[in-house]
Amino acid sequence: MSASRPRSPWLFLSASLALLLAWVVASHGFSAPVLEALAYLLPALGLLAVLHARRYPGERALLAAIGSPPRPQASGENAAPACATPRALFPRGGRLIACSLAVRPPPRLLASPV
Amino acid sequence: MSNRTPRGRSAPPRRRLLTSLTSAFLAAGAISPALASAHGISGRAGLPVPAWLFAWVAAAVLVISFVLLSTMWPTPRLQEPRESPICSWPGFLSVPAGTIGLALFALIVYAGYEGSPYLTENIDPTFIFVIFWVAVPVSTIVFGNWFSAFSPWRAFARAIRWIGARMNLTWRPPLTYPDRLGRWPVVAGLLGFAWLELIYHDHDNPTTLASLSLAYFALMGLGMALFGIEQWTERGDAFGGYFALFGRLGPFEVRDGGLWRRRILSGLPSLKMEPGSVAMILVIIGITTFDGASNGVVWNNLQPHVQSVFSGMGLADPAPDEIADSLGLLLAIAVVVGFYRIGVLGMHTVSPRPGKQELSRLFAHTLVPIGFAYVLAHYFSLLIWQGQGIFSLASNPLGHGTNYFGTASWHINYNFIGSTGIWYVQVIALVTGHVCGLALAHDRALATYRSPQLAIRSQYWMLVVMVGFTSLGLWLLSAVNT
Repeated sequence: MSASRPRSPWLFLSASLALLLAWVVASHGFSAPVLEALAYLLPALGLLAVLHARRYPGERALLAAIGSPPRPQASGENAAPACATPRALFPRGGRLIACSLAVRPPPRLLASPV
Repeated sequence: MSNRTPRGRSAPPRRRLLTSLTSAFLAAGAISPALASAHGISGRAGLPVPAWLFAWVAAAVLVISFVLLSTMWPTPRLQEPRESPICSWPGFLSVPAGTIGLALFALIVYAGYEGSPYLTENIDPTFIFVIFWVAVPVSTIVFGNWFSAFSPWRAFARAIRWIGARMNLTWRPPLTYPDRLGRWPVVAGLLGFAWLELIYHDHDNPTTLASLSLAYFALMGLGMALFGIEQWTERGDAFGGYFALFGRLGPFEVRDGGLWRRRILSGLPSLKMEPGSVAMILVIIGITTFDGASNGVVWNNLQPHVQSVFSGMGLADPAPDEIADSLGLLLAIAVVVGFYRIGVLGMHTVSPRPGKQELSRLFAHTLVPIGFAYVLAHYFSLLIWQGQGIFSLASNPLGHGTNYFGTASWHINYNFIGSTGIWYVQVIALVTGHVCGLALAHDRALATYRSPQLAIRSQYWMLVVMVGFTSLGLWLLSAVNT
């Protein structure tokens, strides 16, 4: 998640969940009913934890199965602007300056004879 | 979604995926004999596997459904109802239907005041809490929203309007139904009924039920007089709104003088999301959640602590008990809202558009099958067992020893279905409802997001919601059955 995204709803939900859990555990301890409830909810909690870490397990396989290759970047707002296209062997103007200032120039430029 | 890559290109990965899914199904099949030999949740001590494994298997079924939907449902199919007429529906049929509804209502009120005060001898508690509250909504999925034709308050208002027209008296509703009120009256009505059924200490008293039925009738009459019959019926009648919502799940609908057929579930995406619509759906699930939790171990251990707080304030019985349970009801609804909120917030991380409020409205209809599944699963045993009591009560509604239909001596057959059978019906109902919800969400995601990747990512979050609700529902049911 980028820093610009609001996290307060997640914090609120996490805090509510933790509070509820703390209340139940404080009342019951880790007794059998509480552990059983956790066992029931474990698949959902596990999946939630994975997604909250911005992991989408099996996404590539799903997209490949429907014939839609995944985009290289997760989301548009995180995508870095392209500084060169593969065909531009001799960048000029602003693109030349941008590429010269880039930390890692495009691979095709490196491979091409200058 | 029409710009998908041609099917042929994706065939090999899809075949691999299907092979994997087939293996997964076979693996599930290998587990199921062990589950099938279980003796239901009521005999959990003898289960060969822990009961919570049912929730895990249900989660696996949902994950497999998610994969199948993602790969084999490439374009939206349910966004338009695509209704087709079956036959014409004569308008005069509403007259006998309304008459039957009014007659039943009169019987309920009369039995409440004149019948036996005992729960099992008077028809009121069984009719209201089993037939009206459970059997009617369950039947709407098959027959459509048939209650609107039988609604006693609507029939009464229409009769008054018809008589007035014959006497050249016309009544124009003085008020226009405010849009911002939306379905909030339905929410309030459902909460009120839930409070009566689950919390109020004297809820089984036939006289109380008759008085409240009359009060509701008067309230509906007032609403229809102020805002118009159809305007109020659609958005102000709690039960009408509740039954109409579930009626959208099914394939039939009566309107415009005809009987129409449509795809199952396709009536839901066109549900108008007025203010209060999302709350109405969440409250329906929350009510059932509390009903289950209030019979479970966790709440029964916590409730006395909450109750003691209010007892310490000097409140006399049964107020502390009712206040504690009221808080429990609100807590259950809050948990349900929290589950859905997690899904909405998660989908919002996938793409900033649509916004959170819009997402909440766009996907709320996907929870309707879950609400139905919760109702069916939770009340199935009540419907199957206690529902049989209506046959004897129909012959002897007041408990005065009559035998109008010769069924007064019929008893409830508890061997009709065992607790194991009930458990499997509950599990199947819950899983089916959540798979339907997943399908609706997938269909809406395809129509909402421009790229398949965003649609699939958003549905990972709805999968969390569905798995969460399934696990919660099974836990509640198992706790009740314990």
